[in-house]
Amino acid sequence: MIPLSYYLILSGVLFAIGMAGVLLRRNAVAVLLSVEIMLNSANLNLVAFSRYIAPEQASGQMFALFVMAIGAAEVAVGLALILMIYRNLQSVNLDQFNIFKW
Amino acid sequence: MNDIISHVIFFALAILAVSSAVLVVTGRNLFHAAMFLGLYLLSIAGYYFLLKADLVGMMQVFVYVGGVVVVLLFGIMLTAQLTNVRLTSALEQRWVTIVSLVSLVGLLVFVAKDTVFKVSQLSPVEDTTSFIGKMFMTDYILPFEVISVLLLAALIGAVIIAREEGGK
Repeated sequence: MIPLSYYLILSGVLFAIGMAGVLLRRNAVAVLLSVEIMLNSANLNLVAFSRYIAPEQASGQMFALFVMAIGAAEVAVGLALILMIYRNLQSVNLDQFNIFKW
Repeated sequence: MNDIISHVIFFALAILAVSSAVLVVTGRNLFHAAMFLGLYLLSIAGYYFLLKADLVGMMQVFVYVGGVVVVLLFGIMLTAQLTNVRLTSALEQRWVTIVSLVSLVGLLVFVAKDTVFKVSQLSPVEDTTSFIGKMFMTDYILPFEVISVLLLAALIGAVIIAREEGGK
């Protein structure tokens, strides 16, 4: 069987790639894409732990399904916010989202 | 499943997942980035099948590849500046990112490689769909109801936020 640490390292690397996207990209939609990468790498971790530590309970799979629901809600609200800001500022560049800046 | 075959599948999916994730993050064309996100989500679904989590894998394909990617494509097209040339996105603050990423990955690998986990030898749940359905209706009934209310609230909120102001 594949060692559990392979899955942990893989999901750590994928999480780091998603975090790089959040830190590097200036386009708000691109940041949302990177957040999806991070959510899915965490989900992979949950399912891997469920398979290796307590396979007869499948509790990690339940958590993964909850995370999916949260992720879907997050995308809907995030895109609605981006659309509204785009309508007001004519831009999706995060550096220009500074209307609250004093 | 044969041990060698599962290792080969694992590393093939790892290459697919990491390369598509890198392309999502570094790609200058957002439309292509969304397509590579779909590929990444499919490779994660492959891992769920490898881990014997059939229902989660199917939900990954339905909800993420079928739903979230389409919604994100809508978002990309609705916020595209008039000419498609502006679909690009620049990269900034490289050094902070590199330092934080190297420390994060280093810490995670350092922790993961030496930790000894109590790996259970029990066989996984065979019929995941009926098992998870029963769990949702018994042990997890409260989180299930809470998350359904949350989803409803989030979707209504998204509609209200995105609506044209002063719209009919």
